Amino acid sequence: MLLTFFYGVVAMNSRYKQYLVIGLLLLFKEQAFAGYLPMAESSASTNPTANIYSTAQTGGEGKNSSLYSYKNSQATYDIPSVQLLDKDSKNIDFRKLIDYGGPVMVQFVFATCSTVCPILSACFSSAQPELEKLSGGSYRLVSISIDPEQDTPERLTEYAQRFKAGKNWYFLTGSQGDIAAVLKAFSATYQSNNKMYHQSLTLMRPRKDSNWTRIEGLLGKQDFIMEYKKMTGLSSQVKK
Amino acid sequence: MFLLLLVGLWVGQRTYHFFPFDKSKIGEQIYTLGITSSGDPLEGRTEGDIEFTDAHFNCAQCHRHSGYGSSEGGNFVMPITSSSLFNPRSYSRTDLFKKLFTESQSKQFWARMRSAYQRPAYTDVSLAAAIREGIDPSGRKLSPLMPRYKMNDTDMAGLVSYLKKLSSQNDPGVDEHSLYFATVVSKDANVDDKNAMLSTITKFFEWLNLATKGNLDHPNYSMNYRSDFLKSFRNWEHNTWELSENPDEWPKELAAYYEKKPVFALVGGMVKGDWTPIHKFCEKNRIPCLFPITDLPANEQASHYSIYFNEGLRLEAKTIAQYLSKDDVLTEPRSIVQFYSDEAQGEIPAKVLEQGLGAKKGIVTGSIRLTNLENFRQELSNYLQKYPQTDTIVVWPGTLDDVIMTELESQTGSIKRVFLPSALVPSNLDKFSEDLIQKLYFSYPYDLPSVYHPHAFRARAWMDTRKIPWINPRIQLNTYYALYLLEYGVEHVVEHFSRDYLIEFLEHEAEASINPGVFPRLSLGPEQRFASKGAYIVQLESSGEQLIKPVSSWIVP
Repeated sequence: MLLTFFYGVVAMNSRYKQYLVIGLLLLFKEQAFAGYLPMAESSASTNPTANIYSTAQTGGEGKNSSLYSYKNSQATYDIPSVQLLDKDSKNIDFRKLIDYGGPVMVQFVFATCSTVCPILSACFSSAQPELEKLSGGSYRLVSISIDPEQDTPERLTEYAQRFKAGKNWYFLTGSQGDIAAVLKAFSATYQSNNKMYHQSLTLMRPRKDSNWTRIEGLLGKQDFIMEYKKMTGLSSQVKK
Repeated sequence: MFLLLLVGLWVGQRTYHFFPFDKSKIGEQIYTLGITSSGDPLEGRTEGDIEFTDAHFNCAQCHRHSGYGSSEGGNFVMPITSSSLFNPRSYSRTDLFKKLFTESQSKQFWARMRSAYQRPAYTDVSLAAAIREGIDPSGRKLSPLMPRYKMNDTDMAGLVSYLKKLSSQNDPGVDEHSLYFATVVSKDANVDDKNAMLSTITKFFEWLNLATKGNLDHPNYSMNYRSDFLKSFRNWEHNTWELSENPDEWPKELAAYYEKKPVFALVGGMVKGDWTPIHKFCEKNRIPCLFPITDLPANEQASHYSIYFNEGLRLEAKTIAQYLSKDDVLTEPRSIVQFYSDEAQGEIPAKVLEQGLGAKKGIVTGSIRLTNLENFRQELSNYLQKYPQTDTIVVWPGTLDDVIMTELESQTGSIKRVFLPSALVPSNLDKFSEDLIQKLYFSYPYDLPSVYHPHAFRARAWMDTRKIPWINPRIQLNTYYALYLLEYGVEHVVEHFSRDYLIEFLEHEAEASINPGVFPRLSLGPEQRFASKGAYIVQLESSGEQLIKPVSSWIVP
């Protein structure tokens, strides 16, 4: 059958051969250009200066892992030097806060968010006791409001209380422009400038100048701890 | 004996239900507030292993009050209305179309929306299994985003009972052919401003109804798109509810209008003075009240159905307070006095300013109530003689606004500086001396005239094409925004005419809608009720291209 097809092609008028080639390319474009054409989702989701190896984590609904896959990649970011405001209305030099030297985990949330942010923050909240043990008390959780005009320090204080935030958890707001600069720096901007289309992101880094682990999707508590251990090298120590 | 009687009653009630008890009340409490029958917050587990005891993890958070679900951050939350739960899962092309092709969402969201799996209708038992264990009637596991709740049988029965009623019928104000809206105005509101608002509304309704008629008259011209939506198209009918000059009578008057012809929502609106009576009416009757033009929106925490452009004079007072206590160039200690008219437009911002400054040490304040212009002249003169060190005067003139500027001009020599609400920003400076111009400061909760908004031309072009005269551009552009967002919202609820669903959609899309340029940003979110949240402090500029110049950044108090 293949032989018949081959002879048919050879005998075909050259114009029809062109059409056939174009048709075949259209049908099998993904295989034909594999490795040459960037796929939209990966180019849109990470910093162009960064990465890129991606590992998708998927679990069944086991007791310790998330049902959904989350995407995990490495990236580097230029931390902007902006002044933000914490929940106690204190000015915070954002770069200094992030570059303090130890492990830092960052999420983008807003206090009236109904679906995703409470889960992101609940993940931070539930992981606090274990992080305390693993890090010896030296870690920083940073929740940055993407709705800074609504999320005044007073509202962030209420939000922090709801999630029983400890002393290592920072809640930041600021001017619209400064928050936009932070979002852009972490490739966390969203479409249509509508915060309702924001991404579920957790960014973590073990120390200053090392790469960031960029996690897209929602994490369970143990997922988060596992990622923390991987990032800090604790998981390999445990295996040894 | 008494104990025996009690036991007998209990057994009787369990067996024969002498006293009917509406279980769905408990269900509503759990659904909307996350509080169980015992008064405790909901307990459960989400994302596999995150335990919570938190009332915020209630059903309405994600599935929303309407039960039509939501989408956020690429996550699609399924509808759980009565008809969606208690029928086999089915797809409506019209529902999907708007969600898939209008919203910017991730591939995960798209995939979930299009997911082809079917499930049978829920029963009481299978719904309990879904809520407790996350298993649907087809045996599939629900998303880990959906919490697995620890819930006793009483609470579960209440919740299931409530879900059986949830959005089971359309809200009032809609019939087979029409959707009914109204705009509330008071007789004594400014006539030109009322005309500016009402002429825009009238033209918008005419334009929209013409488009609807075109679609209904040609039902088959587009097989795959618009013809699918025919069932949701309605003629928009508008009424103006004119209220008397006596706010005490407004509740009765509003009730009479509503009884005569219930409306689906109120849009726009303008009264002289405090909007609170209309706000209360809307909350009581669960009527969306969208973007009235008011300086005095209600100051109620637990409001759900009223959405405003901003906090009006309260916002202006908070902004002045923040400027004076944090951003001011003057050094402390300072002496500030405010004069306010004895009406809501004066008393309310004066109280807010006092509270705002009260917390700041080193600021000496005085508050003087005014009854008329003569009174203001006398009080101002006396105060400045007694306290010549006073460096800042704040005036909330209310309805004295027309004459107050003349009076300030006459006493300008003894004044160091005056803060006024934005309503007093003059349209030209011809009447004022340079000395007074230098001393005037205004709170200004709008965008600066020099700022360009890329989509403002659409609103202006629409108005110009309809040949609507520009009576008051700010009011007309705001009214256009309210109508445009309303149209967008109604289009997206398709034929699910639920007021809650409409409001939820407006909350979701306000930020993405066109901004005609009156405010720097217009943005809502779940349960946010003020779309613009800040203001500038500006001064007049006699020599520049613009009439005003900012002396502060955008202050969000």
